[in-house]
Amino acid sequence: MTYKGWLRAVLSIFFGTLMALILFNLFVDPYDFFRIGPWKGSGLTNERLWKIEYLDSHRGEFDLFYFGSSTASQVYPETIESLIPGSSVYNLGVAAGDPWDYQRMLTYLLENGQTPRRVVLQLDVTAIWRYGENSEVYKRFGPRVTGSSAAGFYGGYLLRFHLRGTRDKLGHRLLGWRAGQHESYDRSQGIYYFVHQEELIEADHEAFLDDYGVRNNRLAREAHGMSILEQSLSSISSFVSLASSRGIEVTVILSPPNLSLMNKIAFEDYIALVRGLTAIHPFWDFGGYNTVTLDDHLYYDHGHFRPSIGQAIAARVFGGDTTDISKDFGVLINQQTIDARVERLVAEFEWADSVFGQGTGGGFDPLSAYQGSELSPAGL
Amino acid sequence: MLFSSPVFVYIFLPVVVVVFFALDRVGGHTISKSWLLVASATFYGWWNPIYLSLLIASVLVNWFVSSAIRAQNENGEAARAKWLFLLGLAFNLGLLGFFKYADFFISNVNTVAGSNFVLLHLVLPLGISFFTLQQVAYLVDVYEGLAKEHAFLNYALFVSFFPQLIAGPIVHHAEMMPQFARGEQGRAIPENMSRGVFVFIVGLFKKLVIADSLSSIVVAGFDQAESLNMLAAWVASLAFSFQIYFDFSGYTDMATGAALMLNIRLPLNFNSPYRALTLINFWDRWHITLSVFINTYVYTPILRSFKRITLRNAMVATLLAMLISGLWHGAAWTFVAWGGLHGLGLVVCHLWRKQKRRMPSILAWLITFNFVNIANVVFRAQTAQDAGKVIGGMFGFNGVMLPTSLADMLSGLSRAGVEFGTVLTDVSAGPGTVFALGLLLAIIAFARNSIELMDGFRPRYLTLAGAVVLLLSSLYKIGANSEFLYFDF
Repeated sequence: MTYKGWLRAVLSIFFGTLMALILFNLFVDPYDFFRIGPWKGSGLTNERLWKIEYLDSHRGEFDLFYFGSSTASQVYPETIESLIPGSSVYNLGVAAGDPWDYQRMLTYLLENGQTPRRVVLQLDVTAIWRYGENSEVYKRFGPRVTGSSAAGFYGGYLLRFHLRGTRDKLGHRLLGWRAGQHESYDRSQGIYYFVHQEELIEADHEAFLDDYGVRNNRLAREAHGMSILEQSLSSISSFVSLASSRGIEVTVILSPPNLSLMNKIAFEDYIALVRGLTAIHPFWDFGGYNTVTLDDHLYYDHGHFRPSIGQAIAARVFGGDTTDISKDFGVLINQQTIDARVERLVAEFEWADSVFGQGTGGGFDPLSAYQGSELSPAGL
Repeated sequence: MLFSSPVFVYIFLPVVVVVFFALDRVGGHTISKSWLLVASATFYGWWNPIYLSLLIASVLVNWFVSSAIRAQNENGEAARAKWLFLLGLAFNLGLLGFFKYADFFISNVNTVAGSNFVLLHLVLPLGISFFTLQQVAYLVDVYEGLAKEHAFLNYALFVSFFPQLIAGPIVHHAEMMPQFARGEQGRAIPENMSRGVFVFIVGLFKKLVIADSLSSIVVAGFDQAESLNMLAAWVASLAFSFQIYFDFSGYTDMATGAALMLNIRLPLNFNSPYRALTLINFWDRWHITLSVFINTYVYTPILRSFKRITLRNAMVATLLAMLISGLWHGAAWTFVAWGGLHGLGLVVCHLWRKQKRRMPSILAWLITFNFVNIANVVFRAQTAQDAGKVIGGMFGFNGVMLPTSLADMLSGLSRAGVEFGTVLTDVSAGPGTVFALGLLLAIIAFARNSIELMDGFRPRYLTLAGAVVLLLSSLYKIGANSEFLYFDF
């Protein structure tokens, strides 16, 4: 073999692979960047990309933006619109969103002709340990927001092999796997539905809780320190300042994590989070150990709650009917109430440590244990 | 632009190479070299166009100052030449000091004096440490009458040639400028091209598949874990030692390969450093071009500044040179401590060598490798506390834990304080990680390194198959977010 022959062979394989990859990605379009092929709209899609594109083409149509991660997806705009007559709401929940994302999105929207009168920021407790740009393809901002070149963004997408997205899409299209939940997107509202999970719940709710790992009482608190939380709080503060400076009303919500997630949070981290938030802006705390977070039946997994909880959050925050909502779910925290809230959280964490610290046997019902304690609304 | 990014691999490099040879054929060597200069400026400006002006200013100032020094030397104006030399030195060190060390200096002043000066939060221009060193060396040699080549285009390319611009190897004008001055590299040579492509692929694989895969273990162990048990601490430290080697030597391989495609030979920068049997030998094998620079332009001048050259003075010079080397790597006390550790290690090594005592090779390797590995912990740790956490863990200060699967077999050890549990959770690793680290150690210890592979390269089906496998595995990983570790230095 000659040097020329060797070189020709390597370069042919290299460029041949590239061409094949480009054509393959155009056809399969694993994360629906282009939505031009025959298989558009299934599998995971990049919400950061298309939600911004959608809003750019519907500039000025919405006066309330609901920011959050995927956990915000179950707070439906139509619910809020029914509570705030005349409002037009868009859900800007994005997969694995964190304060870095929200600050960036708000900045972009305000610089590009959107004129909301109100913004809602639904935060997750994961802000304690998750912050910054996400490297996964379906969680990256598009070039409109980053200001990077569109050729680089879409070219980079075409020139990579996307294992997860390709597997899911081909599995769905060729092997009949269930579609990714994003197939059920309602782009006009920015929400999606957990169709498959609801089907499983309807078939056998208890089996679903076990199979999907929702029922998990294990106590595994891990302290994360302040380094990431400080960055999160800084972005939240910037978000609030930016909105306020434009005369936009800001509502901050701390979303309700399921018990399995609450049991992973160190007390000092949670207290630092709620105190930090209070210093920035009053907020609604739906977290901690309460009638909702302790009821596994209200969750799809450790963070995603079902639509009924979305409705309850909306009712509590936007002045709806709260007669059926447990009074320990959703507390407005401000400088005057934070000390009382912290006192309450001390009691909740102590209770949880005592109940879950020793391990619980099968059939143990955390909600019943809570309702039997002096912490429950009945015991207040 | 990163060597391992899609835009570099798929577009930039192929276009630069093809256009370079096409222009050389059509327009001659000056045109093709000008193209390389434009390509290098694009490569640098891709990261941040504003800082391109800094690079251009640095090149222009240094070239004009060195021209003036040369003129004064030729006119016998030694005093003026000296002033110009000091001016040039001050410009380079001032630039580096301002961008790299200003905040370090301010924060230390604030700590010592209790003051509250505001930090500048300057973004460190990519490669400033590298192109500054190269130009300082050129200035010194012009002042001493050792630099022969002076054509502007060759000088500008020597500084900014994109394969070595932002993370080395630190090239010397005497080995680069004559290559640019010669006209024969304007013809594509299949042998150079094949070897270049081959070693570039090897480097790409080392970076994307090996180094980047170790990153999550290192981040978990060094930055996220509260404490580390003994095994987890060793896994974290070894993972970093292997990560930085495969990352940096992989980058060097890619630089070597890209340059060779253009018929330019870059100097050797790594030669299986983890096989070294002494620390002196380690520095002959690790970041060789930096060692040469430190030896020529730091150690030797310090030694010369003493009235007499004695062993004691040589050791003092060694220690000082390594402290400066540590500080060159980064503006933090952990880097200075790392440099100090290596300096002390070298002193001990020299003293031992003077005793002319022999040590079994395996013991010498164990001591050298573990010393380097422990010093690497100090290098990687963001704070002294983090370094203490990992090193303390390695020596069992945070307890010894073995896998639960061994509990029945080794239950007697629990009386000695050994615990059983999930050992590697804190470093986001599992049993497979230990096996992978063992495999990497075997590769490092026994396999031929990439430069040996390149030099022994022959166009055979075996090398073709190997290159294709490495290339396709790398292409699978390409585009994921990652940066070269040495970009920070």
